[in-house]
Amino acid sequence: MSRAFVYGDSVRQDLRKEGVWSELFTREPLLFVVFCLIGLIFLLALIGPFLVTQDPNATALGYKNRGPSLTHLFGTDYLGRDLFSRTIYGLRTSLFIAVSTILLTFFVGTAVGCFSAYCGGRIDEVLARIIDLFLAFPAIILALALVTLLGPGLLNMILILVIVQWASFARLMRGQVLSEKFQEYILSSKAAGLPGWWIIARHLVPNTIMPVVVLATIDIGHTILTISTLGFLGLGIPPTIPEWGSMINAGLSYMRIAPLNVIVPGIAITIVTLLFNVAGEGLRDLSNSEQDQGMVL
Amino acid sequence: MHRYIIKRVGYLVFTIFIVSVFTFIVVNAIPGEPAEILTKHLFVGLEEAAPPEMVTELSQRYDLDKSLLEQYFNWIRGAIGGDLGYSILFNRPVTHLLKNALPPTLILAAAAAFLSVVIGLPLGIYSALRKGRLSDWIVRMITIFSISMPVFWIAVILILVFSVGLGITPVAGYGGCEYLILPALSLAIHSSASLARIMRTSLIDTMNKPFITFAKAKGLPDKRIIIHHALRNSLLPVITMIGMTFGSLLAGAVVIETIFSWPGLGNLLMKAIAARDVVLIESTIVVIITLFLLVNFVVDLLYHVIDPRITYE
Repeated sequence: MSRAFVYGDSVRQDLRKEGVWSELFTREPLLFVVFCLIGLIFLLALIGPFLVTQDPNATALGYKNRGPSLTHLFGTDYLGRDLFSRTIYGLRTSLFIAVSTILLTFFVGTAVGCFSAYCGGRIDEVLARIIDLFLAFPAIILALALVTLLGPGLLNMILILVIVQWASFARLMRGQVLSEKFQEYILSSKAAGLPGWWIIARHLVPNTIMPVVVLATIDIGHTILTISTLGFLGLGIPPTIPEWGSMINAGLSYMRIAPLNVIVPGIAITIVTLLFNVAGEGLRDLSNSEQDQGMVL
Repeated sequence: MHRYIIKRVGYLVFTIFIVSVFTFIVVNAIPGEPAEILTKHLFVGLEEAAPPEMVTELSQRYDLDKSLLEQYFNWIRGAIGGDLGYSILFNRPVTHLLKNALPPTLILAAAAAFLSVVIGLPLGIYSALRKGRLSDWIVRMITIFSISMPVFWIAVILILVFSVGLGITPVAGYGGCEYLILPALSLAIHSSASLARIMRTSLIDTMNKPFITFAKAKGLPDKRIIIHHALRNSLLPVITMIGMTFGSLLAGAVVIETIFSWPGLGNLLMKAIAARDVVLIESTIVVIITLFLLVNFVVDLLYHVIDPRITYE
């Protein structure tokens, strides 16, 4: 029997009053720290332009491939551009694309998966086949084909990444709903004559969404990796926008004299991806152990 | 079982067909005349304007002026007979190019898969058996760190350390073992980490099952329990993962082959995309995806071998 049915909404509200955050802090201090760091990263992306003293696109040909100094914390690249400010602006690019992609993917994937499983029958069969087809493409190959088709650009990039990723969300959500939709509380709400959208929104989604949230958190990391891979291949992001992958690619020819240009953006990618990976896995462990105890987050 | 295999093969062929249609549409919908870009790429240079008479000649000679439907059917008809068309960029049959590019990619993917299994599985087993201890925590930190690094960056750092810094390995190229080690390692660091994580989770899961408790109660030695009872039963998700890893190695090869100038399918694809050699792009993508699907198909069939309880209906 479902947790929502056992506890009802009142328990959930009680938990909300106690505060999920203080609960998280006492039970999983490490995870709490990771969430704080993620918050810090978003803050850094937001206030980034006020932090950097140099224009990320200002070239200074007299200062090519310099080492770190007080004016250029990480040194400069092959056009004399400040590596520190380019790294900060790269964070903005990556986070903006990754977060908008995941938000869109989350909604599209969840909606399709939920709709497909809830309807069942012919509709479900066709949608499941379509989902399988999208999963047949290795992500990077599909992204490559689409990026050549649509051309570079931030919005194109988001669109491409949504097309590449929505299917795995839809498959997960579909499986979740399929395993839940014949539970007694769903059948009884149907018998009580509640409309379909109400059952989906109030009962199905709250009880099946947690694994999808975990996937979304981990997928932010994956998306950042994919963005940087496409950028490294010289595709996807227009050259005027600082992006970590294309920065590494540009630094490749000069890595003997200015190794920081390939090292720093890579470390930045790793740190951000790592934080989202740890957060996602922590959330998964948390939701698993709570399922065992019959608690609702 | 036989009916299942036939059904799966049918579905496989259908998927490849859809993939080919999709790839054809996407590649041909790319803005810009392929004939014009090819002319620039081959004869006059990218900045110059392509002379119209050269463009028309090129498109006539290679059927680029035919309708898309006609082009598609010519391509598919040829493909069934083992002829994928002609690469204008390399001035060679596509089949010939793919035949040459396939072995390097397979060698690279196989070497990387081998390394991943050899590093990943023992690491995962070790971590699972030491669950909750410091060594487990260290392994988990290392592996989650490894899956957070982009594969191409691992490659760049390996080049920086081993080729530029220490001068042990060649920077790029194709040849003996010394050329293989860095590309294979850069792919394997990422995938061995994800294998280790799956192995750990799966083994811990199995160790909590009642039949393990029973084996312990029977007084069987730990070694025997782990090797004969726990490992075999925890392999199923691991095998799935190995299959997926091999697939992602094929795809990851695109980046790695470009960095190391490894003459495989990925390298070919990137060159074809740069020159807009339409037939070559389509064929390479379809071949890569077919390989990917085939590997996963074989993995699916392996389930039954590993776990005879699984039957296909």
